[in-house]
Amino acid sequence: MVITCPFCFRQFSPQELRYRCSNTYCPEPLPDELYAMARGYAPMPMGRVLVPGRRLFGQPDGVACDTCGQVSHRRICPYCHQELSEDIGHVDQRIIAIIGGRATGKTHYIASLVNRLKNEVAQNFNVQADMMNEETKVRWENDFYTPLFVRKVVLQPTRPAGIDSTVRAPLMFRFTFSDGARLRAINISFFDSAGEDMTSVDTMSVQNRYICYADGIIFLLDPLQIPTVRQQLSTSANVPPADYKASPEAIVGNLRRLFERQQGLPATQKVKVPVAFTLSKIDTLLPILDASSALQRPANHPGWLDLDDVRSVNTEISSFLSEWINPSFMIGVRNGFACYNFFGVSSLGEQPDTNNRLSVVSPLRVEDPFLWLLYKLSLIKGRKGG
Amino acid sequence: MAVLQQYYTSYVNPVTGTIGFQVKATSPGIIPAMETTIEKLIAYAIPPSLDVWAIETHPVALRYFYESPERSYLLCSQSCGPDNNGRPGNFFAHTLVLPPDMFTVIPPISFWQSPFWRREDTETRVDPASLPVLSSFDEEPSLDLEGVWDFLAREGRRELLYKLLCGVIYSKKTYRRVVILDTPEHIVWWIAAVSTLLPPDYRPLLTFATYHQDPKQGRYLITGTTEDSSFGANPMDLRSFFVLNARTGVTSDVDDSAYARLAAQAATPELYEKQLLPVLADYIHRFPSPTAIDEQLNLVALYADLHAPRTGASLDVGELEAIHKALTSFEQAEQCTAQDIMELEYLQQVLSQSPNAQSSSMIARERERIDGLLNKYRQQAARASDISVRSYREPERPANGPSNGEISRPTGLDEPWRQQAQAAQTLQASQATWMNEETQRLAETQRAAEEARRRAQEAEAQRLAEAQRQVEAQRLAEAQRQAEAQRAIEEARSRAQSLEQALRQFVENIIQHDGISMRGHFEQLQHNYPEEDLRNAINQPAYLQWLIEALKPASSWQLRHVWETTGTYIVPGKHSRNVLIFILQAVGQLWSQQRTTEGKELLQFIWQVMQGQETAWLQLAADSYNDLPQGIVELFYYSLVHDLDLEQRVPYRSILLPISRMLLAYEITSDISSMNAQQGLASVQGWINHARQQGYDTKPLIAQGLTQLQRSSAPDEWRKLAPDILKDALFSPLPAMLEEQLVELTFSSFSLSQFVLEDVPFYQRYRNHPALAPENSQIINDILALLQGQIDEERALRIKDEMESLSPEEYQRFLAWCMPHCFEHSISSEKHRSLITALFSWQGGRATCFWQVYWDTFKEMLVEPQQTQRFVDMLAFWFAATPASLAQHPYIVQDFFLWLPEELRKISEDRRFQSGIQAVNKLIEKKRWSSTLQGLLVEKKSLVTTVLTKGLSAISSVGASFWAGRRKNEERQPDEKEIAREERRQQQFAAKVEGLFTGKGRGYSKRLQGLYRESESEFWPYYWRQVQITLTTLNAEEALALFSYWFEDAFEKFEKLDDSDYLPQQFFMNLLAVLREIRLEGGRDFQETVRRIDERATRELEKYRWYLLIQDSLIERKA
Repeated sequence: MVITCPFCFRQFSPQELRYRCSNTYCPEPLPDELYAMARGYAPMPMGRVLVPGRRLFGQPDGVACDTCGQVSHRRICPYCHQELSEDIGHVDQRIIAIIGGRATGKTHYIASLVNRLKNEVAQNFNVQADMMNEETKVRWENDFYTPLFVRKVVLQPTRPAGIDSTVRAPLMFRFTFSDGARLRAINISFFDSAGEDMTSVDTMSVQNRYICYADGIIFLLDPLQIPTVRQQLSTSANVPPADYKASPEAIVGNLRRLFERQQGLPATQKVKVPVAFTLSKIDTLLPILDASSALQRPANHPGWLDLDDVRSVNTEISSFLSEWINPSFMIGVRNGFACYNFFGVSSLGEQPDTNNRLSVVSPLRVEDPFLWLLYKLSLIKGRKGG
Repeated sequence: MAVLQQYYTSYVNPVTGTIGFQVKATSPGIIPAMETTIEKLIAYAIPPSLDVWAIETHPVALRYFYESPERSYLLCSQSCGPDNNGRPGNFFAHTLVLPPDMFTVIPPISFWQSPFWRREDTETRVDPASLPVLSSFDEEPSLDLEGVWDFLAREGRRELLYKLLCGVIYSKKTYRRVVILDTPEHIVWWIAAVSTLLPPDYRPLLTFATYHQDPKQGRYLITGTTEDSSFGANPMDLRSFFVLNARTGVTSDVDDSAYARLAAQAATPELYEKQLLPVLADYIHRFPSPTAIDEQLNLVALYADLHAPRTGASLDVGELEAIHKALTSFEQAEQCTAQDIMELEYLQQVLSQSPNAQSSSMIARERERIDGLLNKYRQQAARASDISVRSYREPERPANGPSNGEISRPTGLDEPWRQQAQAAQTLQASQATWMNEETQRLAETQRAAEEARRRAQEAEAQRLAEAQRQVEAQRLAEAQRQAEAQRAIEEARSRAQSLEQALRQFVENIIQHDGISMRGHFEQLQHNYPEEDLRNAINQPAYLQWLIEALKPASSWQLRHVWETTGTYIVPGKHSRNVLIFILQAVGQLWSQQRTTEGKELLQFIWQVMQGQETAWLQLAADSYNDLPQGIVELFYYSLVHDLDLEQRVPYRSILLPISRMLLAYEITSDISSMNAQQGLASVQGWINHARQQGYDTKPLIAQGLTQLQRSSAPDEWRKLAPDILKDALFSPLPAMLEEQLVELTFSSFSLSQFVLEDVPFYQRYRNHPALAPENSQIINDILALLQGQIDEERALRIKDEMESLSPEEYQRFLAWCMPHCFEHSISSEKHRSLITALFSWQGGRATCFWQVYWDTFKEMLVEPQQTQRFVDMLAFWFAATPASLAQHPYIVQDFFLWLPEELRKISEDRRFQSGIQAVNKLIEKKRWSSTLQGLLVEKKSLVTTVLTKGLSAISSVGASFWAGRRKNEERQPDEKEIAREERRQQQFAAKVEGLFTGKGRGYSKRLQGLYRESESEFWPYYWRQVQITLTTLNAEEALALFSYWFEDAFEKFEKLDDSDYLPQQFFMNLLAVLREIRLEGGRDFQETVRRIDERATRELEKYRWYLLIQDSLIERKA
């Protein structure tokens, strides 16, 4: 069995796991340089790193600190010393990357998605979503939930990883599915990024290494950055300034090149990771969409993915994009990616007012791309004609 | 003192169109390294509990970071409202890069809320490098540090201050940075208080952030944060940091610090002046200049405390360390003053009066040092330098002791001190008198010597005058030549100076115009000056030193440009060593900033320029090894050799190998890191061979090479390589951990299908390795036992299970090599049985495959005459075998005998085995079962013919054969009576045989045996005749019962009857041929009977499983 660290993505066997002394009063905490380097911190004393005795198979439940003698169950990665869940190696792990240009709504999307997953989707799929560590809980409360759902203000931009290393750490969730008699757990890490870090392959390969290790990618496209849409909406929506460097074509190209550079993907091969190309902020498009459009109504996935609905949204969005964006965009997607689908979501359900405040947060279809990725990863079922 | 600036915020760059967080404006001269540092210092986030739109409530973050004695960063990050998308959370960071020395006087915290700091930049800038470089930073401090005393005076803060100072002083030792949880304004005062109470030289070392949203990210010694930050949620934070929570008054535990005690006690305006400042003025210079805030401050406090009245307590370790360190500064001083001597004498006294003076070796050692110092100083005085004497006398002191507050002596020690001073002055006076007399004597002697020398010179001058005149003409000519030469030298020097000037100008141009090629200028220089002149000018040590200084702010492009032009003329040598160090440091810096592509390009350029002199430059790098960051020389070397074969690298490697312990490891890991798995393995193999040839220690190379190979291989690739690595003797012995991992990987998905004969030694090596899963270990041991003929029933059953998991192809492949190997040695019947148990299977067509390999194996034995015995042993095994003895595989014995005649026929027909068959016939002569094979092991005779002879054909000619035998024996014609009697006997016998088919009943087998023994030659013809009749009766049940008897019961029954006649074996050996004959004869009734048999048997296959063995012989299938 091979474990992949959800932070540094190095692979190792369970026998290589390290443990960290969890005794706050252990007499000799030591600076942990590997951990500090991985987190972008200056070294600081932490619980000692404990190396379990030689084992041929499996991982010990706990290791006694050689200084204080207290048994610790806190597993850490042997390479970056970041704390891993206790069930690492026993529970399936997946990484979902949320990427897209600046101000495409990545952070808002994560906030709405997680909130939906914890509520409506949880009911439909009989799944329980828990945050896996204290850091995720604090970040979720401070940076996502409280500002958006309690104070109803738009979220702050994500700072580039070069100046704020917090964003390098994923938000980690445990999803426990139940099909009556049997429970199945899966740990999913969400990586958020600053749009600034997406504008060059160089930056992406340093700050967003996780993309190449992701099991699924949600690629957000901002319709308000598509010139045709901007022209049509110029009177009806609060159109932000154009950011030509973060155009969908540019970032799709960067994504493709990132795989070529980091994974040695030959130019003749397609990226195999499933990619959900997702048009964000579709609430702004409603005025120019047909009344019969699938995007006008919420999705219904009653315990399985409604494949008919997914297909009709895919057809609709891909035909919009073919019309709206340069044809080379669709050609680039078709030639560059083996498994992809188009989606449309609205994380907020409405545009903020002129003071950037929200009256209500009512997301639309935010779970579609995520559920499709789970379906592609064989974690949930899909049905036609549901 | 140049002060550089930078603005950073989220905005829309009008020129590039880039939107978002980025540098807004910068001074020229901010190099990438500075930008990287600034990026790590400026991050700002609004505290989570504040209203994001109420900017005025957001804390301002003044931050200070000390990088080196030459460079520090002072910046102000503050919230500045929405970004261009209207999202809250934009911030504006205004940074200064400036030398830290100015902060010794005015601590950086003094610039809190200075109007200098910008919180926005409304100017539209086309060129970001448009901020002015300030010639100095002479802003007025905006924070009045006097406010510190008021702040500390309230709410018990002095106690917290003591803890805070302890935390600051022990921060370096404990790696614990300091975090203050308080209001932003209070945090400023805490930092101001610490700054004020530190000695001036320490103040620039105090890095801080008045606010940071995540103190863990901050790189500052003191970081302030708000209580709503995530910090402190974890109890470990209190251990990992020194935390001061001013609201709760809780701090982390911290050790006592003498300096903190001293400073906290003096934290009032009066005591600060009276107590702390004098200590700093008098004693701080006794200790080395600080490079960090650390426990040296405690030594200062303890040293100062030694000069206060002592109570007779023993000197402790801290005090002795303070003395020890202070004495070092005395030893390093070039001159001494009277104050120094008095202080030394005082220290001597303190040491000698300590109660533990006699027992402590430390005290003894320090006293020796003081004695030595005092002797040295006294001798200096004795050598009568007026200056030193003066300096010894200089501090005139009033008779009643010290004054002026220069050194505040404890009054209790006044008298001894005065006595010491008087004694010293007496000694000095007597020495001065002696000196005066000596000086007079010396002056007289010198005058006499001078006179003698003058006379000798006059005589010599006269003697030489004549000779000088004679050579005058020559000298004039020579002088003329020299003057000309001098002029030429002057001209050359002037030309060299102008060349050097031009070269400097050239480099300065490059530095000032980043990205603009100056190659044309250099070509002009090359055109104007001979190459030799250029080389000489460039290799002048002064020029090279200047070049290094000039290139310090250069970008990698500029470095490359300078290097590819002037660098080509630099000759490797001692004079160019610093240049090499500089350029390699620049490479190292690029590496540390993860700009490896630039670094590699630069290295490539460096080597291009050094072409032809690689060895000399590499030697120079080796000589500079200790002056360069770790790993740089190896990197330098590797960039030269990475394209070369290992052999070609040897001359270069031999330069570095004696000094770099990590060279080979670096080289092998670098080689492998750029390869795929297969190439990587080949590379490690190449390396080990190379290492053996070169006499390197292969053990670490194996470990490093394979570890790197693992890193650079995907897990699946590594898994595939694992067995190859284990099998390769080149890697032996493998490091234990690695070997263990490889064994685990190799065998984790082990199955029989992977087992090949060539790998038997490999399996033998690892069969019992602890990393093997027990089940894998067991199956490997089982197979090895099988191959060695040591298999038992238990192992056989396990192998049988494994065999059934193989695909048909894998099964066939495995049998094809395994079976011949198993029978290479003679094996007992018992082992033979176990082997059959292990390898045979009835599953989908595998039995056919088994028999094919089985018979092929035995056929091959017949080629070798000495192996025929094994063939016979094999036959003997089967004749001895019963279905019960091979119960794992029902009907296998019957199946063997059904096909034995056919296999023997094939053997008989093959010419290669003729001699073998004869030998076999000879060997089986005496076997009891040999008669059953009579006629089968003959040359080129159709088995069918044989069976017919013994079978059906005989039915019609029973009498003829009988009489033929009689005729032969008796040589006479039988009479009618005899014929009639014989016919009657035959009819009776036939009726008896027929009786076997009419009622089975008890004793059936015994009756059958009896009839056979009554007439062995006649039994089978009559029996087969009855079989034929049974198969035409349309009675399927009867026929199935007949066959069921033979397949299910016969062996067991006859075994009980002491079957020396091998009747079941005979039945099966003839059955297929008989059935074929009957089928040929055919007839409607036969076909109908057979149809019914087939229908019934296939319907009840569970009951008639044996039916499948004869089905094909019984019915004719349609194509």
